[in-house]
Amino acid sequence: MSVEQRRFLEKRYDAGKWRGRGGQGRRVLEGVSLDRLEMRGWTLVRSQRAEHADTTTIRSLWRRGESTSEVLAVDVFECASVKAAHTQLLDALGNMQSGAVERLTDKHAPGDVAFGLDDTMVLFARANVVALVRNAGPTLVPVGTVARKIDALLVHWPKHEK
Amino acid sequence: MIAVEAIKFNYDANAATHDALNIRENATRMIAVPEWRRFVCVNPEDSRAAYAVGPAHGNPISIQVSMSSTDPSVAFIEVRVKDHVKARPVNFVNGQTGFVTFELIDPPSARGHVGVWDVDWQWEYRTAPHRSWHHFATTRHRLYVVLDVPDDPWKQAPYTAGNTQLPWTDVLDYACRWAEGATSRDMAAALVTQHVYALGPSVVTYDCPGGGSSHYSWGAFDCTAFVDRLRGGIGNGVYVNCSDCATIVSTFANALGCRLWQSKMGWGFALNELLAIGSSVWQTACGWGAFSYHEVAWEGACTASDDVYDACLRVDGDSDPTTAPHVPLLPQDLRFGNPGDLLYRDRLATPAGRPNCNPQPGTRQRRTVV
Repeated sequence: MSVEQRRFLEKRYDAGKWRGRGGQGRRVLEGVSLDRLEMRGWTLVRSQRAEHADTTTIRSLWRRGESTSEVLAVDVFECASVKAAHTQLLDALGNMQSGAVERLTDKHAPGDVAFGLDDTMVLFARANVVALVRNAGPTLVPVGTVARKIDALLVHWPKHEK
Repeated sequence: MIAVEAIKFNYDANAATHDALNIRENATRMIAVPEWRRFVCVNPEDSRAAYAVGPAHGNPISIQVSMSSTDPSVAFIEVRVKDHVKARPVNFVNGQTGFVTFELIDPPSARGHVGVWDVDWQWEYRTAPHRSWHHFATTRHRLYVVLDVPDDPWKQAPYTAGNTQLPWTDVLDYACRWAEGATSRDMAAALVTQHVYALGPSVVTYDCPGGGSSHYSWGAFDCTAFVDRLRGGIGNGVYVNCSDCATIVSTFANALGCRLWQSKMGWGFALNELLAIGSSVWQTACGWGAFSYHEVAWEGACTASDDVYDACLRVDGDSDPTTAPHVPLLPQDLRFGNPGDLLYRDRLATPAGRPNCNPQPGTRQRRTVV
C-alpha cells in the first residue's frame, strides 16, 4: 500500500483512536484455525491456509447446504502482534472501494475494533487476529452472527502470554 | 504400417521466432513436449501450442515430428499434411525417423491476428515423386495465436514445471476467443475489457454487499478461482471489485501480448452516476456516492496522459457526465485526462471529486497469478 493511501485510510477511519489499542493487554493468539467453527447449516467448500513471514492467512468459502446462491467468504489473518493486526485491518480497508464502510461501535460489535457495511460485510480485529466475513453469493446473508461466532472462537482460543 | 509417434511444437524453449511459445495448462499442470504423443492424444485439447505473431513475423515456422514404420521395406518416403505441413523426405533407421523438422504452410501466426483453432491434420506419404499420396495418420491440435510474447505477470523463463507464471492455456482458452480477430494490442485489450464487463451479472457482479472489496486480487491474482468461476464453478464467489476487474483485464490481455498494468487512482472522490459491472441501474456505485480508491487496467506509465481500460463500470459518455440522460460508455483505450478534458477522470468523478481522483502511478503493478 502506498504511503498516500495509508495516510488517507488512517484519516478516513480515524486510526489514531484504535490502532495499537485493545487486544486485552499483549495477548497473542497462535495456531488459529476455523476447524472448531460451528456454523449450523453451513458447509465448508474450501479452506486454504498460507503462511507468510509474519502472517498466516486462512481463506475459506462456505455455502448454506447445497446451495450455491448463499455463500460466505471468511478470511482470517493471524498476525505477529496487535499492532500488526491493526495494520492488516487497514490493508483490508484499503481493498474496499466503498466510501460507506463505517466503524461498528455498538455493544454487539465483534472484536476490539470492527468495521462493517450494513449487515453484509464485517471486518474486525481481535488481539492479533483479523477476520473478514463477506457475502460471496447472490442471495445475501446477514454476517453479524457469523462474525460474532468467529469472535467467540478467538476469545476462547488458548492463550499465549507475551 | 507407418505412424506418427510424436510432434513437438515448442522444440526450442529459448525462442518464439520459429516455433511455439513456452506454455503450461494452469498453476498445477505443465504441458509436456512433445505436445502430441501417439495413443495419448486424441482430442485437440490434448495437444496445445501457442504462437506469437510479432516474433514469428516473416519467419518460417516449423515443428519436429517423429515417425515409425513396421514395414522393413520402407526406408525412404515423403511425408506431408496437405495445406498445413510442407512435404519433405524422411529416412527410417530401424523403423524410426527420430525427430525430423517440418515447415508449416501458412502457420497460424501468419494470420496476423488473435485466435484459437482446433485443427485436424491428415498425414500422407508417398514412396516416390509422382506416386500418389496415401493417408496414414490423423492428429488433432489446439493452436493459439497471440500478438506478441506474453508480458508480465507471464514469463517465458525459466521453462520449468516450477514456473507457474508461464502462460496458461486455461487463460488463453478465454483470452484468445474474447479477442479473436484483434490485430493490435489496443484492439485486443478493448475486446478483453468488453468481454469481462459482459460477464455481469450472471458470472460476476460488483461487490455492493462487501463494500467493493477484492475477492480475486487481494495480494496475488487468484486466477485459478476465476477460471473456475468462468467455467461455471463457485470460484471465489460472484462478487468482484475494481481491482479484480483491472487484474483480470490486464492479465488476460497481457497473455495476448498486451502491455497493461494494474494501477490505482485516489484517494476518496465523489462519483458521477455509473453502471457497475452486473448492474443495469445508473447510480453512484451502489449508492455510496464516493470511492475510497479505484483501480483500472492502464497503459504506459499510468499517468493522466495514458489510456485506461475499465471493465468494472460504464460511465456516462455524453457531453455532460454529471447529469442524466446517460449514454453508457465502457472505458477502453480512453485517456485518463485532467479535470475539464471530458476524458476518463471527468466521466468517473464529479467536478468536486476530480481533484482527489489522481493517477497513483506508484501503485502500478502486475499481480502474480496463482
